[in-house]
Amino acid sequence: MIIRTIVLLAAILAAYGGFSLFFEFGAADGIDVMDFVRSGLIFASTFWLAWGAFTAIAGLFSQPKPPARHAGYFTERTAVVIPVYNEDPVATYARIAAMMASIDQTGQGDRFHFAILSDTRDDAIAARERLWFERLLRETDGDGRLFYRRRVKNTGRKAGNIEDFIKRSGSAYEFMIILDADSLMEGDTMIEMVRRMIATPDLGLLQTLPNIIHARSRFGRVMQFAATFYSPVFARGLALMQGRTGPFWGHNAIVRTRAFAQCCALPELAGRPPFGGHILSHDYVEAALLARGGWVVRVDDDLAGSYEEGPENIVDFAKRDRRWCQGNLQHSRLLLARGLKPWSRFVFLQGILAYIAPVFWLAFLTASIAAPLFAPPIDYFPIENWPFPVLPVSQVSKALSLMVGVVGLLFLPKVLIAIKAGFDGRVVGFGGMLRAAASTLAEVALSTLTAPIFLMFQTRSVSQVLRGADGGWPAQSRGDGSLSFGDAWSASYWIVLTGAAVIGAAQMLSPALVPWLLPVALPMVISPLLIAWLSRPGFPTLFTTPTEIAAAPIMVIQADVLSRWSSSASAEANTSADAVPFAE
Amino acid sequence: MDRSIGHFAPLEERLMSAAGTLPDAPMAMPEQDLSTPITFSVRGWLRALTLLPSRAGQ
Repeated sequence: MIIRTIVLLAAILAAYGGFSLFFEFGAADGIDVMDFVRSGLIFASTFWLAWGAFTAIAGLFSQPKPPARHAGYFTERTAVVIPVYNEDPVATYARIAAMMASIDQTGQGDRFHFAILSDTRDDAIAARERLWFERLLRETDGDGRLFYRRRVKNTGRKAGNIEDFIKRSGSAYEFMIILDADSLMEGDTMIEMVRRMIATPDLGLLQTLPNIIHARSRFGRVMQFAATFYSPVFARGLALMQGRTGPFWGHNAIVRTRAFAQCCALPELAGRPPFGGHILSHDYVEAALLARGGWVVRVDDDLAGSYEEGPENIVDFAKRDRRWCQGNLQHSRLLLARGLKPWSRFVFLQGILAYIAPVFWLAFLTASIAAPLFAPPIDYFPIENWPFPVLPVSQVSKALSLMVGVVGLLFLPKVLIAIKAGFDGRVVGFGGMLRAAASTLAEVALSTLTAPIFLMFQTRSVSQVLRGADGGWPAQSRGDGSLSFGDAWSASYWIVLTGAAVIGAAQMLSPALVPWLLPVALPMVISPLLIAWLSRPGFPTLFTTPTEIAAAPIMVIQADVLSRWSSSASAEANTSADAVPFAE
Repeated sequence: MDRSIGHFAPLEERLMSAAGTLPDAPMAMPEQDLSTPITFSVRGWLRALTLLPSRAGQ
């Protein structure tokens, strides 16, 4: 609680600093309405940045005590549920086979059942799911502990899929480990999660921090490095902030089935999408409802062996972000829902701000370009009967101070994380001190370069959600995620035009602003090149992660299963679905 | 754990009864109340601020 208050006050203070610096800068030529607008936007944007930075710094200097855990054998049964939706069954089931093998190695595999919960709409994929399920069942000797079912209607999407499982089979399981189709988890990690759940009877949900693995493209590997190098520290800070009202990210987490059933059946919201209908970002809401029901929701960043895969290019990232944007903005309907913990409301607000903040930055840029239109003319002779002109005092130092402050908030946490990793030896897993430092600097440079592109995609997402419009994405991603220049152009030509318009407008209205705007506008103008280049493999000497140096045991098993299956995948895919059992 | 809902064969028997099909062990899941004490509509506010077209215009 004390740390929350300190971080909150520090963020407000930093935001006020940004506000006052900019107000002095903007009002030097006389106060006008645009000075208030721009300073207000700076306050909101700086607060958001500072909140993230100080949360990370809190995580950096905290040393949480080891959580309680049950030792010895346990009898509680756990269902590992894997909701699937039009996924490639070979890739998904290879992960399941690996996890079953890994849990068997612990000697307590009989306590874990695996349930594939299909919401697949494509009948051809569904036929392959059933076909490959037969093989999975046979190879894992999974009779009685491996299940598959496909819903006729995918009511409530993923949340409805899990709800359907609980209503049908929930009483059989004390705990549920909820995974995504691309999740991978060591057997030891699953056992440890169950031990922690048993040891803390009021723990309703325990979230792990999944590391990204198997990235191949430049963009994917940068994300993989950032998620592995920085995220544990950010997550620890988040855990400190959230306390008993922790996060749920929808997968790679364990829940107490009884608690989840008691609290998490989501209603359909009144009205039409995007704000009405099914709750899209259901995980945040489920965490809030568990907390409302008196259950503890916690993230344990020390739980290793939890993995997922990430998008390989900016366009796929932006597509996923578009869904999250709609889900988070829909939470505005729930901000005032009855009985929620204040912190849950704040988390909803944070999620909304994550998408609104880029709009604030864009609004700030637009307001800055337009500001000269509203500024009063400069009065060189403000003193009556004084024959010499009074030249305005340069305010560049104030603008520079503000820029240094904003850049500091953006990069200080990353630099501090890298320094600490150097001292505590964590850099070894990232290729050593020099490579980790070079990777951090390169990540900072690349995230700076791509930030304006994400700003534009996020702004468009917010606008689309508010207008109730579709995402409107061209289909272009290859199997490996690489994009041609043409694909990248069709996804980002409007960003190029906006960047060119920004430079043009600034040149006409405020030529002095042009150099300040170039770091934002130039990446926009070259966005198709950046998007295509980053979607290809590269950076062989940078962005090394521990699983690139040595694959985790579960990854080795997965690769082995996949190589055995891949040779027969195409032949078996052509087998008639009619001969396949388990169709519902 | 609440296993009082419904009347079924012993659990182990049900788990083993049909290869590959889910255990028949229901659990109730009551729908949650997420209503708000006051009406809160983002689009309503935006319309009021004339940032979005009125319903009639759509």
